[in-house]
Amino acid sequence: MLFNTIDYLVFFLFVVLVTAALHKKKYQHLFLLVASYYFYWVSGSFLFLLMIFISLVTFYCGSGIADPASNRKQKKIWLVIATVTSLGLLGFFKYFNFTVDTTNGLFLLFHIPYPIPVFDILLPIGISFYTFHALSYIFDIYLQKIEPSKSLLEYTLYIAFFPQLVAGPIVRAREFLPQLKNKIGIRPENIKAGITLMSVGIIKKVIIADNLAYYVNLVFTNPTVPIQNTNSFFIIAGTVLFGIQIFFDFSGYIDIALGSAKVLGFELPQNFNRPYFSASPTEFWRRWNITLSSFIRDYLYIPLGGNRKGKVRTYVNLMISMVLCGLWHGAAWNFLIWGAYHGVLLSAHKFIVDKNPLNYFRRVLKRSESTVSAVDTDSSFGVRIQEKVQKITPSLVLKILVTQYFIFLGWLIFRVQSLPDLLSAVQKFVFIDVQSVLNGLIKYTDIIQTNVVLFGAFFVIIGILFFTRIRTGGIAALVNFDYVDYLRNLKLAYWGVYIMIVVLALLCFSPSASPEFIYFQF
Amino acid sequence: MAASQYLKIASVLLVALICAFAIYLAIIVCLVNPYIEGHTWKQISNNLDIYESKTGTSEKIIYVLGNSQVMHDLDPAIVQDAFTTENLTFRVYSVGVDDDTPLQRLIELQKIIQTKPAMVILGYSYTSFSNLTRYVPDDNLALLSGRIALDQYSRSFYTKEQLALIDQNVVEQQIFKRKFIIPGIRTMLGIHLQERDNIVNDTMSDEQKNILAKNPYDAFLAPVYQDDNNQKKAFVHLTGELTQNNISVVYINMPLEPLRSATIPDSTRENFYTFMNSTGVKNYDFEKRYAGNDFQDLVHQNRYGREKFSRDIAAVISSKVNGSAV
Repeated sequence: MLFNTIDYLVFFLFVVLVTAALHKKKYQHLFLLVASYYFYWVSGSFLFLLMIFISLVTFYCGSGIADPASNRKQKKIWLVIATVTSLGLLGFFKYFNFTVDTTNGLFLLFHIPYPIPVFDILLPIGISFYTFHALSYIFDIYLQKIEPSKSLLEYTLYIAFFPQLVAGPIVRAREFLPQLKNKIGIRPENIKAGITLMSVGIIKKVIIADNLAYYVNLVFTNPTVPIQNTNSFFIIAGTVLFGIQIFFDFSGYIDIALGSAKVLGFELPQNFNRPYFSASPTEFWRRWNITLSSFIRDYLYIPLGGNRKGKVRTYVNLMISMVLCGLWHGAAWNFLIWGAYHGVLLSAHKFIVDKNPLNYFRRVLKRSESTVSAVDTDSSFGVRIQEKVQKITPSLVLKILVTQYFIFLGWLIFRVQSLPDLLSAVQKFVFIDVQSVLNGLIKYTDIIQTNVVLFGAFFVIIGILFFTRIRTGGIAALVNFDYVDYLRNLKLAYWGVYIMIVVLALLCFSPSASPEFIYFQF
Repeated sequence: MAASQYLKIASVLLVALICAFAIYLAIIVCLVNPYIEGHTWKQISNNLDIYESKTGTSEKIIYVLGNSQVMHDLDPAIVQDAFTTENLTFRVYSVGVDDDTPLQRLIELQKIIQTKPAMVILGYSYTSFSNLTRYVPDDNLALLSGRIALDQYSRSFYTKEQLALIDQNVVEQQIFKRKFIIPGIRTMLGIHLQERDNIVNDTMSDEQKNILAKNPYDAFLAPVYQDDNNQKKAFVHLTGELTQNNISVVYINMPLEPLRSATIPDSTRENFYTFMNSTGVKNYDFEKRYAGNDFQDLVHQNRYGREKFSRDIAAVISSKVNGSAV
């Protein structure tokens, strides 16, 4: 069941109404659990049993770890059982065939005539997400950051809660379980805020991402024109559009998830914070898929030693973390290369920053002022960033552009799936054939004109609405402007006009076919 | 207090939805409907109007079905004059549709049968029977939904998605029209799409470009092969259903400009007639009957050609009715 369908809206409305009608907290939780399982069953059929199994194993292992009677060794055994079971199932469903294919490829290379059979394995939807939910619960209990849940019902609801079940955000148990202490109240302010967030998400997904998907697919999955025959113009245009598509697709999904949870009175963590305004790769990973990167930081990078064991180990830890982050996205070489590429970017950035003596003095100065640095030099994952983009200066713009060049090159690696295609595409992205780019721009002036008119009109309206704000705060004020907060606090009548515009925009500009959310496949 | 808050939010949402739909419908009426007026679905829609108006009348009707060649080459007034001279009381209706194919005509089949015409003349050329010929555009299916009556066999030619378009209701049809909003705005603003087939052609490999340069007519000619395809199956079904309902069926292989005719491979001609003869439909070959100065382009006739062709069609009908040879 996709978030951007009428089916989901009907399902969600039913869930909200029934939850509001139930008087006891326990019944509300039970109903939400059943609804979540139903949601998963509709999306992924009988494989919801796997989720129930992981929930049960991790729940009882969590209790085992926290049991005062357990000694250190026993705690470790419980931890290993939970981790191996969860990661083992994830590994089997997600990586078995990839491993077998790779092994068979090696066998072929060394003329070993014993190929391992490949099974027809159906990847359970959301397995990467709910496995990480379960693991965060287990790790946090082991690290004594949380007490185990006493209620199996509450814990299984944490794992299965439908808004965050299929594609995140990755919610920590310590963020979610405390919210189950009180009875769920469907409050008017939450309804308004939640619907606003959902509407923003639907616009991002349906109007922006889905319309871009057509053009992106024309470049990357065109059966008549292989990537190797595509010129620089199309590679660059396809990559830029894919970068925009994946952001709006994923952040649109997250907004709908957060909005759905908000209507039901739950707060889920934010997953994006203007990632394309990042001025360094390190900053990018603190703004992009925040819940995943913080999970990797807390449960992989830091346990590996983080930046505490010397420079070389720091780089190695970064590489390991990012390669596994890439592999988490999918069992394919391009994801692995994408992860390694980001590992190199983070290491290179750290190396450059460390070698720059000016940064040392800046760091010392800033520490003495007890401020939080926007560009953290102590750890590539460690310190939280400033929420907002600073005053926009030419040097910041340059940093952002350079960073985004490398980030978008990463998206090219992410999108192109075969290795020969990847080499060809990267070559055309890096060594730009200027003539083909100019020809392309000239040839498609009509499409560019149409989009300039459509988007130009949108930006003019925004400019008029926020004229005073821009005049006093400059472009940075516009960039930092929290439009969701602004919209949800509109007077009811104006808010109604906003909803009307959203519905009208959906009616007018949604493409006839809406592809699945990109992160569903992970 | 809280209850009134919920009620207010629900009311605002409801009003917003109603207003959005109302504005949307206004956009469809003012912008989209005029824009799509010139598309081929409208020609089919007009044909359906004709059939509906002729159902139950005692008129002796002859329909001439076919593609743009029928629309250009046939002047019903000339045919009608010839009938008057010969004291024939038939009424001829040219119901051609641009880019038409036998498969697309299945949309009209049931309504044609309902009008009980005396004769149906089908005018196509080789391209309409090729494997490479387009199938029915989704836009036509969607914009005509509610008016399409397909029998079970005809439905089997369509995919699940196309059948959903055929069976959509009025609301869904209005929502489908949103795809024409941006082209409509573009037309309104005078932004014209540049001359190109599609983006795919711009991204052709050198090898593909070479093939196209050496054989520029390949895509255009759409050769007919020996094997069966949906167009041939549709033709057999179309003519079979008409014949079963005692409607006389004639096939006309439409005239082609001699230069164009010379580019048709012999294999295409041979495969086509093998198929046509297997159907048992009475057919007439007009492909090479007219000189180059009877044409305005490679496939469509000018007014001189039109006069000649229309008189020839009148002679065909007359011979069919009187049982004489043409």
